[in-house]
Amino acid sequence: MQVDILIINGQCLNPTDEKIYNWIAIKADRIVGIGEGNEYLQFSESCGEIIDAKGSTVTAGFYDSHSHLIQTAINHTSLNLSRATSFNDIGDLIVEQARKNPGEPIRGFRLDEQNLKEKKLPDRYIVDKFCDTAPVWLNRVEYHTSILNTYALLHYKIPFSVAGIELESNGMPTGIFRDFANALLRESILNSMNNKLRLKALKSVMPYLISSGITTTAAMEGGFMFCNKDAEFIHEYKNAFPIDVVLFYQTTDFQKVISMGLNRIGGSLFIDGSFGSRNAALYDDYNDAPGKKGVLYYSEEELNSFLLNCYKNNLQTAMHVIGERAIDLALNAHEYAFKRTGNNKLRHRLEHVELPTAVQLLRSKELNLIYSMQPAYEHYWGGPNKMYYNRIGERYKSTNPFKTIIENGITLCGGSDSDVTPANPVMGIYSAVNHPVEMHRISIIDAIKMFTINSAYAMFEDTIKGSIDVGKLADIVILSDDLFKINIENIKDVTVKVTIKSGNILFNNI
Amino acid sequence: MPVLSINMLGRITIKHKNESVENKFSSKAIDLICYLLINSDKKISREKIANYLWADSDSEASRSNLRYCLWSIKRIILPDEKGEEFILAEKHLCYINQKYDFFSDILFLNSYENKNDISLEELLSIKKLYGGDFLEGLYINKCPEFNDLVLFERIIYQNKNIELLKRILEKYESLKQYNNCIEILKDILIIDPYNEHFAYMLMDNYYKNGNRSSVISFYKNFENSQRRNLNISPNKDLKMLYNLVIKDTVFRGVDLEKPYIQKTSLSIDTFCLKEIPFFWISDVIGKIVKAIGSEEKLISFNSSYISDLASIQSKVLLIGEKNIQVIENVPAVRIINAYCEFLKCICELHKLQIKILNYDDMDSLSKGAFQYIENSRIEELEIIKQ
Repeated sequence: MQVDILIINGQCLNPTDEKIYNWIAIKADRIVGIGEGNEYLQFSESCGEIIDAKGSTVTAGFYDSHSHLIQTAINHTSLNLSRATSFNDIGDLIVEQARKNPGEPIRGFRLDEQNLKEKKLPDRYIVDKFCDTAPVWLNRVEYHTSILNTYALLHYKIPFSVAGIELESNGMPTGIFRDFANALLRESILNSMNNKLRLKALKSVMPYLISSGITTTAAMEGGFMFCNKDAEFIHEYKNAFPIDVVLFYQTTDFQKVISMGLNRIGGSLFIDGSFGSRNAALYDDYNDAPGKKGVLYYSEEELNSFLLNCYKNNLQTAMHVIGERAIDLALNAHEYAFKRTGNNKLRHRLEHVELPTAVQLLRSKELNLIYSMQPAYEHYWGGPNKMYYNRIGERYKSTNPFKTIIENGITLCGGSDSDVTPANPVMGIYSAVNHPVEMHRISIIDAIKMFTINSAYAMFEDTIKGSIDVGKLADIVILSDDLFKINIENIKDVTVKVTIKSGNILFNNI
Repeated sequence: MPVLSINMLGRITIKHKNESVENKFSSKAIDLICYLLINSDKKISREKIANYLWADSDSEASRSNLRYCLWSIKRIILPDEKGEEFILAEKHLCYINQKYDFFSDILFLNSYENKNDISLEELLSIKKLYGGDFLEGLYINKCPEFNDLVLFERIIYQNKNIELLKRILEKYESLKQYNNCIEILKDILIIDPYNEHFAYMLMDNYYKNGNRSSVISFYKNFENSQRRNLNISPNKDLKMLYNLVIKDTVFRGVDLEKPYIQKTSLSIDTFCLKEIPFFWISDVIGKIVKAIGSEEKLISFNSSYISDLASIQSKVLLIGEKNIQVIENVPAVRIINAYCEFLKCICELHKLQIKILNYDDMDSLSKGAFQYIENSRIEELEIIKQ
């Protein structure tokens, strides 16, 4: 048989049978052969391209099971303020951006006043000093607060009577927007962005995703803190990207989703908040905020009714749950809907699930729920004296218990929550294998399965993607090293050498 | 009509002798006019204006810029019929000449500010002035004080707009004009979309107005928008009102399954001819079809009734499906029965008033039908004998 691409000398891990093969043959968009030894020689003479993996790990193309693609793309072309330590640092970035694109709106994100020596957010007068000739919109790290310069205050249509606009003693706005006002402002600005801008931003971020080995990404778009136009854009342009983009529309409007022909709903459908903002819903108080237990954004009645409608209409659901209280609310609602419909074939997902209890794991298994989790959270926030520890004290030892979840028979898929953490599955694999709490660490194979076959299963794509079985789409990554031969601490330094999507080599750094 | 008209609510427009002239001015000249109008009750020193509008220039250059700007305005806005200048520029002071024949939306609006007994008509005429935000789209580089002034005024006029809408709402409420209340509440909710108090009022007014389907659809949209933008659900009061409406299946006689239809009024004058059988009935049908137009198809009206009625008035075919066969010599009882059903069908969509101009001349068959219809007590049908 004539083949187009032959990958040889690889440590080719097939996530379905967990075996290692040496070579993979690709014809058109499919895998047509895998094997060991020299059997590949039958193809080599007439093969279009032979890639020597030089003993590195080769596996199925990676999935990112949870990413906010448009926000990632737009932020890719915006100012990252996470490293700013003073107003002047912010100013330098703004001035540079204004110089590069005069008159163009400037967006900044990940601003955290705790990192600034001034220990407060800059107001419009400060921002005006750095730019008064174009609209400047800065977002606090959790997107719940915005800062505008005076130009932007006059440029965007702002209803000043809405609650949440911070005012000086003379009644003039400081440029800082919170709560309702921030929500309205975000909606107004994000809606004013046209699809050309979205497309341009996506094009600029795609090479990064591809070079990270991602061949399929879930795009959690629309709804609270995002923009419905983003979801509609992804729906319209879903076939225009070099990799597969699977839309998760973050809405409770199930009729709308059905009318769009989608078979899933949700994504970051916020049942509770986050540990960082101390609004993940817990049973016990936050360590650094006594009396605070977080927030539930849905009543039991609302969530029951929503899930029942989804079960009845055969919609797969994905809900953001972090604290135990939110997880229980979601489980109760799933049990409520399941009892009334008997439908358990929808592969419902819980997103993040950072602090599940042992009982919740049993209940989740019983309901056939999938956990969609972000191992890199542990890298950034896990372990002693990091964010989890600061917020919930010793309970940090119970966060993201990957091993127990797998032992309970729950399907575990992996994502980045980009751009909360970088869209980088290798980083996810590293973090899952190197969990700061040793008892929660998982094997390399299980970590790879999170970002391949398990994610494919979580998107109803396991029959066509997610492994290197013959007949499946040729979505393949070749890494820089053999993951099984290096120290697990060094996995974070592993890079992607080749990314192949449906038989096309999209990235080749050999 | 005044010689000069300047509107600052929305994008600025300046009309001189009914001709748009805002494009003839430099942006600084427009800024100067706006600044003087905002301060129309004051005489302002040239120095202050120059510093305000040319903050980044030295004092000599800014004064010279001001002189040029005043001259350019004077060149376009000529003295009025009484010879009055629009801007009076004295050696040290500049100000708007109140004697000049001009109109400004903000000055007109401000003149009503302290009046307590403003009529509804006056309030509505003020409402019309709001073409958008104060000086929408205006921003002057390197003039922070002026930009702050615009921002300040924008907030003030937005608040005034809300207050104005509330006053109009109160007037409409006291008159029980629910439809008008609804329109004003919609305007308020455009400005303040998450205000649950006004959302409740809007649903309540829809309900009082008999528009059940609008209560439901508004609530659903409001619920979706709150969830989408604030991740909250509507408050208890809104939920209670919604649930009340949902459960109210016999609400004002409207079937839950049927969408509520807002009925429009239809009034016709009809004529009788004693000697011609069914003439009045035929006249009624012909005039109704003419009034509603052929686009309005009576889908729920049985085509056999149309066929029967077509034997006395062919225009009825316009509102039915195509290819309805016309039958000759239809028995009178079928015609009268079909006529009664026709009126019922029309009255599901309209409030129908039939005036009979010469009842005494009505033919006997029509008279029988008339009595039958009166006894049938069709809802939304009023027949007046004259």
